[in-house]
Amino acid sequence: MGARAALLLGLLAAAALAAPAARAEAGRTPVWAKTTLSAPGHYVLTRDLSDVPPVVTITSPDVVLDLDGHTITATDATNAAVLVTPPAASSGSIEIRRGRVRGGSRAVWHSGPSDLSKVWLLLEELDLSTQGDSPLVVQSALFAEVVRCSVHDSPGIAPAIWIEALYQPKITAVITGNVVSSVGGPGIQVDRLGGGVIRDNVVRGWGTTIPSTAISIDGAGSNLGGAIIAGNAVHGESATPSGRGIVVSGQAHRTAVRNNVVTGAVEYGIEVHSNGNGLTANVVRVTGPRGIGLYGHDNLVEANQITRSSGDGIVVSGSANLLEANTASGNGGMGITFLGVDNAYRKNVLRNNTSGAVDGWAIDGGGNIP
Amino acid sequence: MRANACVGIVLLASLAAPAARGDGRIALWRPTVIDSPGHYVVTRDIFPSSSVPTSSTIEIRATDVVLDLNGHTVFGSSESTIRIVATTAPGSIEIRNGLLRREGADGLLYQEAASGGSATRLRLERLDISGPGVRAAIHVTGAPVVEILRCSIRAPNAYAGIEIWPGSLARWTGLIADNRLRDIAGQGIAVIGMAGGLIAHNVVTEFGTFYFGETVPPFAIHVDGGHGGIRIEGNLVHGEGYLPHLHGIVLDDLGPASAVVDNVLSGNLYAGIWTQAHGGLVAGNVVGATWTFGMLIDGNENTVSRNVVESGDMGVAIRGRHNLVDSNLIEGHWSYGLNFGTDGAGTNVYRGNMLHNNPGTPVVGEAVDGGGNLQ
Repeated sequence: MGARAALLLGLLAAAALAAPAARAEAGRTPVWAKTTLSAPGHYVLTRDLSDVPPVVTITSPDVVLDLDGHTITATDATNAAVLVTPPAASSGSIEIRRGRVRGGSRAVWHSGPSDLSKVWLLLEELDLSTQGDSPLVVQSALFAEVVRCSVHDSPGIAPAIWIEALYQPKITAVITGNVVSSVGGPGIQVDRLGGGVIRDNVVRGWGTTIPSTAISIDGAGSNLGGAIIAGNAVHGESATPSGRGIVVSGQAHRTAVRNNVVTGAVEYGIEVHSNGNGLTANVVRVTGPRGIGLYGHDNLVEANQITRSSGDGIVVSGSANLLEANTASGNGGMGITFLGVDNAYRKNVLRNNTSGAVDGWAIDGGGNIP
Repeated sequence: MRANACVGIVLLASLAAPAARGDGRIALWRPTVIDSPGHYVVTRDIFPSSSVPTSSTIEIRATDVVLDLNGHTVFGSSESTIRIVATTAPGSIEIRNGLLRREGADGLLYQEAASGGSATRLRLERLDISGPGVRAAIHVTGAPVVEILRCSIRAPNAYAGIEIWPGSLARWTGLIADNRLRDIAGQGIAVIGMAGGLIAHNVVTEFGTFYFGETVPPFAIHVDGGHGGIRIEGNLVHGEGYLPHLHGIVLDDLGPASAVVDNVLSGNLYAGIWTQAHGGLVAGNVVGATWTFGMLIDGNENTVSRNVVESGDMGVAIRGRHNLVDSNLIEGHWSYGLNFGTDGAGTNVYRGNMLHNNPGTPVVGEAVDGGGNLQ
């Protein structure tokens, strides 16, 4: 071996250490090809991946998958691009963050076990899109957190961010700071929510394939709930008003819906089907036929601004609700229509509505300005 | 030829060995005592070693230190994984971006100076702390300013996830935000002697899984011996345990002018919010699915407004004086919606509340009806 060969050997060894696959330092495992992560650890993607799905499968709890700005692309829709399937009786956390996932039946899918899973799932700063049914589905975790993700350009009809308890009695969730745009079905949907926060999200251009709801939750029944939906901005962009803005379904009692803005081509701005909720300080200006609809009982609706719907500002089908200090003005129908019994209203401003201020029967608590 | 081969080997060694970095940062790769200011970067996982003259894996005995764990794990032994022995010199210590796996003791321990007190601020960010130790995952005594941000904590045997004491300072201030605490045997976040601060957007669940006795009450967020000016905002507390005394947010003997706003308390809780503070604001909270009380207000001159409360047995109990209960939604309680205890002697006021659907009694006890209540 000559001198040049020896030097070359040394340089090659040095280059090998500096190569991307080895750049993940001790304690962090590089990922550079289609793989299954079956042991706890901190994994770092070292280059873009493109393969048949699932491109990355996570089967162990206590895994951190850092995409480090790279892209995972599934080349067909036979499975999820990133599939998370922790084993039965799992406990621990799984984190996926900082990168893009494209394609697959779902871009990211947590398919939890059918036993009482105690997995915590954290999805942070991901950019997700797919031609499959949904960009992000979380099923059967104890807790799910989706933070600062962008979910977009996905024509599937399942919810773009879909959190559901499935095999569990409930799921606790925090969904904050996300942007959902140009998706075929619902924007954000949480089923059997047992304690949750949905805050500061932007949903714009949902339901491009079928009419659907921007943000909706359903609860876990008695003694498991409580949630806040606050500070979200929802804007409908379809050619004609369609779908709903924010929906609180029949089992999601004790929800606070406050400080949200719902605008644009939306059929119904905010609908509440459950009981004992507080709707406060929301701004609703939709082109559809209803600003706010109440179908449950014992709800408090206070200081909301509802204008310019093509129909009624507020429709109350349930009973024993209180409407206070709202402004329902400039709507194409009534300011408020009462269809249920034992409802009350006071201190509302109900001016300039085409069909009148109030229709139906309710207790006038005084201070209303027709 | 030998010379050329040597160049290659030296080049190889320079890449493989942790060494001082050209950017002025100092590489760490083994148990260390940091006794000089600087910006330290961990370059590989660090395990405890008996050859290092400290019981903790990393010990900090200087101010103006930044310790970037760089995504790596520091493992502990029977002692604290990282220990800070503070000095009385002004300055700061910042630790971030990594994992602490503790064994017998605290994950991170901040001790005040031996002479008492400290002027060293502490900032912890993006730490993931777990392990079987009984002591708190984060235990701070005597830091004047504490920031704990975006940390994840699991402490299945510990009496607390985060515990902060004033030490000889008597009071301190801080920011505890966006942390995730789960699987905590005792309390989630316990702060003693806080004077001005923010506890916000934390998630605490699966706490109180083991009852240590009355000295360690199983509270999710516990503010004790405070000095007021504290805002507890936007936290999510979910009671997963089955001990009978889980509480959500508790303010013991707190000074005036604090706020508990926009929190969600749910699951198996004995009480959602319990405050003995005076002159504070309890507003916009959602309290659901507790076992007994939605809210217990033992202090005086508080405003309780715009909360949504449904808590199983009893809604809101007011046991202090001169409190205002305004525009709350309190429904679905078997015993009562609002209960004004005898200690209030008719000095409390309630108005504009919605008290439907309380099968027991909507309002119990003597208080001033300010009008507009719906029952």
